[in-house]
Amino acid sequence: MRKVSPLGLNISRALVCLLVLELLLFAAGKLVTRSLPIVTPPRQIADWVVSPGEPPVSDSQRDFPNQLSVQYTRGDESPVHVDFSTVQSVNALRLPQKYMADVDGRVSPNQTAVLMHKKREAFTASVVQGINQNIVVVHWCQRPGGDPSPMATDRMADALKSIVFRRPPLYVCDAWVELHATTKGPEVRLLLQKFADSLADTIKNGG
Amino acid sequence: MTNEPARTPAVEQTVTEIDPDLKDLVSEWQFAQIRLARLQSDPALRYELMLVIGLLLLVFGGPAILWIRRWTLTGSLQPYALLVIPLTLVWIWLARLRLVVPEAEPIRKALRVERQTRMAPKKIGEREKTVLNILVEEPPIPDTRTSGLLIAALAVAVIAFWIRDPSLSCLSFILTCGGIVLYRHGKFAFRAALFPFVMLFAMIPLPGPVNDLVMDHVQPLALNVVEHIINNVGATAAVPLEGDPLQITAGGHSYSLYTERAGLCIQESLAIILCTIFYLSLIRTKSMLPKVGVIVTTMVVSGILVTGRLIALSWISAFDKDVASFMEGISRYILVLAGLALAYLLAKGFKCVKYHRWVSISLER
Repeated sequence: MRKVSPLGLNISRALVCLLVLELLLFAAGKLVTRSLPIVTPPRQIADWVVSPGEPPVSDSQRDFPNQLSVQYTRGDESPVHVDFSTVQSVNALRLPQKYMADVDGRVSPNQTAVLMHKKREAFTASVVQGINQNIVVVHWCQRPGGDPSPMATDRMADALKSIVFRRPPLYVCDAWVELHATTKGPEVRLLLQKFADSLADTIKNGG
Repeated sequence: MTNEPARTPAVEQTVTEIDPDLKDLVSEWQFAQIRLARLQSDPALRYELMLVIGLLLLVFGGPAILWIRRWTLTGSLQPYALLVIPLTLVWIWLARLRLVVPEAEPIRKALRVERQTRMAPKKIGEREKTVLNILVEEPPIPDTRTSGLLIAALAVAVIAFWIRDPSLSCLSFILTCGGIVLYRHGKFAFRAALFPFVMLFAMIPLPGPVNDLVMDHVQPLALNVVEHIINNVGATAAVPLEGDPLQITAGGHSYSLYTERAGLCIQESLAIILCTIFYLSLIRTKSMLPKVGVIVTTMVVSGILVTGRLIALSWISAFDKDVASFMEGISRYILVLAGLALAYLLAKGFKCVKYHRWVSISLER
């Protein structure tokens, strides 16, 4: 039998322990994540009815976070897409133009506004332009039972707790509509504000 | 795991009994070749090496997939990171003689200090000691092993595996490799392998917000330079408030240059600089100034190539948008090859051409 040096044996033992720990931590992380409640969105907001949806098109930029994606439809109108992502890494804190658009997502400074909710700054509304698509998105961060904040940087302590301890989770929420030639911007913004208000209340009430 | 003095590989005899294989050597690098041959023929060492490498692959293989995904994301600054591990392995291969005799440099420095501080002149007939004399005739120099770095690396790894963060897991991999060298072989070996260890830090995946911060500052700067140059050579270029795309109008045609799709080539410039630094680490010069000169001028040349590429794409687009779209991809490879060629010419210009004596290429020559 080949005789490995005592130092080599120590190193091998340390690596084997690390491998076992890695597998255990991976399994534990999956269990904790599965047991975390993702938001239960309302079945209906005004006349809009919920159905399963798709995540943002460039979600790989956020390392595919644990998320719930739905869409609200009403007749033939463009659907309102909604996505709730749990902050589990620093990448989940990226600005919406980095993951909402196909390529070259950008926002004009003139086309970003902060929206109010119950007299507090709560949401960021912006027009994100890609190459083949333009969208209006309302973006905010919120933890269950808490108030919405327009930027994740306003909630760094909550973000760190969500990343390290997984509880309480911090959600990055986006509600968006694709812009077409016939879409009217101000109407879309009002619609998204209504959705954001309803969803923020749902998260605050522990939904 | 505690600090303990390490013995260098015991292939030498005591002062009174010199190994016959070591009697006719003329340089320490021949000594290194003999030591390397003996280590390579040791089955226990080969087995230990394969065991440790296999375990490292098992532990960090999964996280490595996340690193590669982060490096190759659209808009990422770090596609060059794919080169880091291959370049590190090439460096280790080229510098294997230096790594096998890590005590040679400390001995050389000690001899230099002794010669410079000698009070009395040497006696007649007393020969000047060389590194080779000390390696062959004198007892092995005690070295220190320490487990601190390895323990810290394992702690970082545990946190990284819980959070599943690619940046932390990559950092823990690098620290684990350094910790293993420091624990198994000692400080001399770690110091000899310092360059590849430091180079590995270039592959730590940048967190997305950091990548965005860098690009949000560098991109407008690059586009403003291109915009000014194009506006001064008969065409019109404008950067909108959102910072993208660059709108070019020339000869009655207009074209939109999207920076993420076409690429600003900052990533390619970083690859050129990385390869240049790798090359210079193998080169012997009297002082650091020529090497610094090569790196600085390579950075300037890369900037010129990046700007030149964007201007060339702009002009091509004025005549044929399809050709311009095709050239967006190919020109990135052309830029890298041109950059590497120019960097090599710059190195020759700064007289950075002689390899260190321990580089395998120079010995074969």
